[in-house]
Amino acid sequence: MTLTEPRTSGTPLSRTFAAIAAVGPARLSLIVIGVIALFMAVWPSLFSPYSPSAIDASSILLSPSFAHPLGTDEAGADVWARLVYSTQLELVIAAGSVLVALVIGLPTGLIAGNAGRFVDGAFTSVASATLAFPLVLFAILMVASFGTTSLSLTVIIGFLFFPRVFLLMRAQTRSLKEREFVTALRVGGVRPTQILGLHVLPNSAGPLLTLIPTLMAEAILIEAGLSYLGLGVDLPASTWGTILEASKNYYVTSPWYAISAGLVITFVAAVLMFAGELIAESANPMRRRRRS
Amino acid sequence: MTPSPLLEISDLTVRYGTGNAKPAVNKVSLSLAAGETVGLVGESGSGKSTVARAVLGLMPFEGTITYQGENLAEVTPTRMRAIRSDLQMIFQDPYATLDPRMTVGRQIAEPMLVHKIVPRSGAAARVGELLEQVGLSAEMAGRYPHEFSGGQRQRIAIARALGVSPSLIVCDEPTSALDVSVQAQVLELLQELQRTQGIAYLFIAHNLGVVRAMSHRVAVMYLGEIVEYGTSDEVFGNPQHPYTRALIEAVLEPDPASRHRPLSIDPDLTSPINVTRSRA
Repeated sequence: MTLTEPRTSGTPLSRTFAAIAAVGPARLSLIVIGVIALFMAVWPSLFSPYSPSAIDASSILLSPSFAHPLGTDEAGADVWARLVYSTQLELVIAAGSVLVALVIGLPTGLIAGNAGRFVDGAFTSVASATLAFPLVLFAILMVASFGTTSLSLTVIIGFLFFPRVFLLMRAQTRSLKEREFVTALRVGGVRPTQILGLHVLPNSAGPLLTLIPTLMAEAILIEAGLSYLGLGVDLPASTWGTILEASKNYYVTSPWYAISAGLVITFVAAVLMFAGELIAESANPMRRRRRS
Repeated sequence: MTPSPLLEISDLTVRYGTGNAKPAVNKVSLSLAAGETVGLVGESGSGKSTVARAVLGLMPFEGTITYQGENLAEVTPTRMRAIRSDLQMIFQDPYATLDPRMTVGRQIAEPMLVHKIVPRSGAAARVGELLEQVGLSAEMAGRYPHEFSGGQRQRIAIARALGVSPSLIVCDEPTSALDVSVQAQVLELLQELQRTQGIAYLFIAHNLGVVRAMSHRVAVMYLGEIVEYGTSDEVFGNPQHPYTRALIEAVLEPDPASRHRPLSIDPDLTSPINVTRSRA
């Protein structure tokens, strides 16, 4: 109750501050990090004066300094600039792969959860088979067939993720279908498609929103893993994964190079996982009550 | 008082699962006239709710269910949807019967819009009317179910059922999840709606007092069969079947002096035929 009180009193400015305080430090820092990441993706030049593709024979593999806070790479480009300029492609691959997973997994999950044994069994078998297939083997096969473009990586990772969305939606549909309010809607003559769209989908929003940032984090980690195996995007495009891959020959002489790339990947993945946790918490009324 | 029945159930048999399992409902016959309330009583598992679900077309059945002269087993799905605008249901659990993520106004409007009873532009006004009709206020339409008490939610469920102007509402234990004082209010509301709009109820409950107060006629179900069927006064005033007597005697009298020992019935019986034998 104390959360709502400040909104009714005080100056507009103090009310703004109260509203910000009510968001809580965890949410607030996530929002700030998210906004910074978006700016990095859209206007990378705001964050680094250097070009990520500059080749400068006089500044190869320099140690961190004021001019180059994270040092330089084997071609003499600023490592911080390369990381910043890779943000866009990295986030596009992460978000794109989740989008692909949603596009495949959402409708199939709804259909399977609502269908009879045969259709459900067929869809679920495909999803289980995809889950069971070794990730790296699948990725090598796919990259060998479709090439190492950012689009093929996005689609491959998205396809690998689709069973997660599918199984969640299928379980949600099956459990919601048995709830009394859905029976009431059926009795009311509401068509199955309308029940799915207007009632089952909104009631599944909480778990889905929790899954999305978690999958994005995993997409970043998988992309890094594939890049390390040489299955990442081709130059001149670059991602945090390909930067990490390039740094592997200089571990001993230039450790900051690999550490910088590794830390960025770890940090962003952790932030996304944390965002998933927070969403799960606010989607669950029982846990929400305990916090306040 | 019974010209042509609104609902006629004959030899209704419903089986759960496959094979030769004993049917949950066995050869049940019932009829219901317009504006009439038929009570269906019996203990848990006696098949009351299964009868209700079969009537609403929610599960496959054997036998015939005739609604206003139409055999529900033979109508097309499109026709069934149309019939459903005339046939509504109120559920036991007022917490489960509403979608937690949708405002109650939209939920009340939904069946009316599905059956094109009101135009989309007139829905809000009609929702307000319905809310007031069930004793709530029109401005509550924008709220979500969790902002209401159990009794209020049951009123909202009633408003949703009323929206399509049904001739028959199946009430599956509509008050057993409510406090006693709230129960009385909801029952009064149902009776008032019957007086003003001539709605018939198939009223399912295990509370004999409630059934007696609500029903014109009563059917007593036991192990999937109707063991006694008659007017409310007949069944409660002069029970014929031993199970009915046991059921009535099991109701606690408020005055301890007038209590007598309940008739013992073996709960593990599998067939209604054995009831009398176990009394020895």
